[in-house]
Amino acid sequence: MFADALCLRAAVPTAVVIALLVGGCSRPSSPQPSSTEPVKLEVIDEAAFTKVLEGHRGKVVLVDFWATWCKPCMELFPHTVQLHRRLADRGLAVVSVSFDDPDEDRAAAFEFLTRQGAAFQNFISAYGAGTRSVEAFKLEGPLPQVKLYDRLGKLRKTLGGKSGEVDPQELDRAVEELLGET
Amino acid sequence: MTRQHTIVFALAVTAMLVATSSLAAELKIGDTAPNWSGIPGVDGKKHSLSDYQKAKLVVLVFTCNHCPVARDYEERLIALQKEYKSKGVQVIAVAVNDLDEDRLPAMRGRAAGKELGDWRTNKEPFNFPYVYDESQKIGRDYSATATPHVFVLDGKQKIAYMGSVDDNQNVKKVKERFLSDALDALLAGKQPPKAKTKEFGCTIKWKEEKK
Repeated sequence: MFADALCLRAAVPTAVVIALLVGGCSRPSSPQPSSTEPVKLEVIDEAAFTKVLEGHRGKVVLVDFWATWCKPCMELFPHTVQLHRRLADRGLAVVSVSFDDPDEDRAAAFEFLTRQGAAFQNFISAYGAGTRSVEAFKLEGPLPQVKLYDRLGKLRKTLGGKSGEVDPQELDRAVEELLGET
Repeated sequence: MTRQHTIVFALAVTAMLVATSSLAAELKIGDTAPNWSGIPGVDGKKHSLSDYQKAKLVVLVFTCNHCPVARDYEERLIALQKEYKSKGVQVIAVAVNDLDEDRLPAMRGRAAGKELGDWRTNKEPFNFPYVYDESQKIGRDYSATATPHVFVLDGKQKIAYMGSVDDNQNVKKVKERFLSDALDALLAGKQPPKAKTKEFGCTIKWKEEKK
């Protein structure tokens, strides 16, 4: 019992130190994650999505809606990963939401995300590739679509969808503008 | 920015958006469907909307060869045409993509039930016309945004339904057959239970504006 108490006493600060080292406070330059490092991918519905956004209050949030059946989405994704690597330290939170089928194509989505080094929150819509996904996440038109929320959690810009392909330069400009807001 | 500068800027942005988007104002249920004519099909003939004025309902589907979502719907469209042919419904598949794999020569193979790749299990040929508008005008006129994107035209050439074929790319998970329900209602002289649904799929590949 005595040993247990000691262990616990040591364990907690050790755990904190480890957590700090692994989770990281803001570091001047984050090391590039290896492209084969496993990523996280969870099924999500609209209620959980709202909570995810709320959890990032104070940051600018970029949500990349994509799917393995959407070629331009997969071509845009490396750019999203770059934005995360460049701007996470300046308060950009990147989230991806896939409209792949959560039963049949989850593995393919996971594989893609891993190869891309998507070291941020990744989700797959509970409703798969269909109208319910479009409705639940309030999209207009086809993929790709990228949504930008400001530090107060307000949706400020939607790129892609009905208005055509996502322009990476336009996206960069919009992200910089929102990051610059106080 | 001064107020004047803001107005000028806003006008400039609007002008730019209008110039670059070049989509017609979005169609609404009840609008007269834009006419179209002389569009070449995989059958080597030219097709016009007026060719089909005997049909009770026309199902215009914007689709393409390469998009996995569009491909997944081909069997469903073939089955739908079979089921509704005797009831006077005519399906017409139209492609406008500015992409080599989506143009007429490649379209012929797909319509014939060949070179299907992963996304079709049966090899039945299309039982409806598959036409290609190189100018993309029909796509702009209908404000098509995705493949597939469906427009149903009634006997008076009015838009009676717009959106998706059904609610899921995965045929095993389909719960609502929006298009079939709409056709059944219209054939019975009623309004569709859902006249407008969300379209989903791949973006239409528009020709780039000259920069």
